[in-house]
Amino acid sequence: MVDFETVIFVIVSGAAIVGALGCVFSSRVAHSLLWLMFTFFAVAAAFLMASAEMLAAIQILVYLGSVMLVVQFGVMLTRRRIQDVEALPTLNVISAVSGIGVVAFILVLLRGMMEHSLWDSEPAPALTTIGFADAIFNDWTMATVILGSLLAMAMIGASYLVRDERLVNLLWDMGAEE
Amino acid sequence: MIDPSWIAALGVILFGIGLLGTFYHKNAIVVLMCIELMLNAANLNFVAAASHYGDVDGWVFTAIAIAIAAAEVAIGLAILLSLYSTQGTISLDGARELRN
Repeated sequence: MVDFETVIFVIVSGAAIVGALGCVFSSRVAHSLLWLMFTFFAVAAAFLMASAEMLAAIQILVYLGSVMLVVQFGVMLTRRRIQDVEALPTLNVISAVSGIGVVAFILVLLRGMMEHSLWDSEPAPALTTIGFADAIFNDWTMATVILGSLLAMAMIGASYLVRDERLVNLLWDMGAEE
Repeated sequence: MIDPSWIAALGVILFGIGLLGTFYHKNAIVVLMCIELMLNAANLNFVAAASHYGDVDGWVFTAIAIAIAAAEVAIGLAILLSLYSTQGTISLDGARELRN
């Protein structure tokens, strides 16, 4: 008899893998983005199955709510038409060899991962969100503060990178003659 | 609860697919998305190890990694937008301003 939770995990991981493959191999950037959002939903479900409810919520709110929105804006602002078909690179020897190499890398890594002695020890009791809050605000306070300043620096840097120095914009609403 | 090694295995597979995408694509935005995929695979590994050891630090690292990924996407897209406004393309083969 197969465990119900195992069945759900197989479905979730299959959805994540299909979404990741769709992200890599779809010819339109907008479709890649939608497949990636699908994958992130599946990863959030995998977090839920590891009893990390808070991380699943963060994943959906931060990744799907804001990061993917920013990427969508990037797609909109860097294309003349959103549905442009991307010219996928033709399959030549180099890309075939690198693809085979990556697949072999995945298989070797998977074997090393599943047979690692780390998993031999008895699994620990489940973690709680209270413990997560305690760790993030007591043990890792300094890291959280540094993270906040990093995000502020990233915001300032991003707005500096996309600044517009054309004179007509600098003189806006100052009554100056052009 | 599900066996943590399975979650780590899912992370390995997603990391490999993201790596393949970074090799395969020329569009810089898709490469950025594949990097996000690899970051998510790393997060899955953190969560698997945290639930195996019963140590909540792995969750903290995952939250930090998600925040850093958000900052990285903001900076990356800002660079791509300024690249698009100066060069008219975001193809990784077309961007050669720094080469010479």
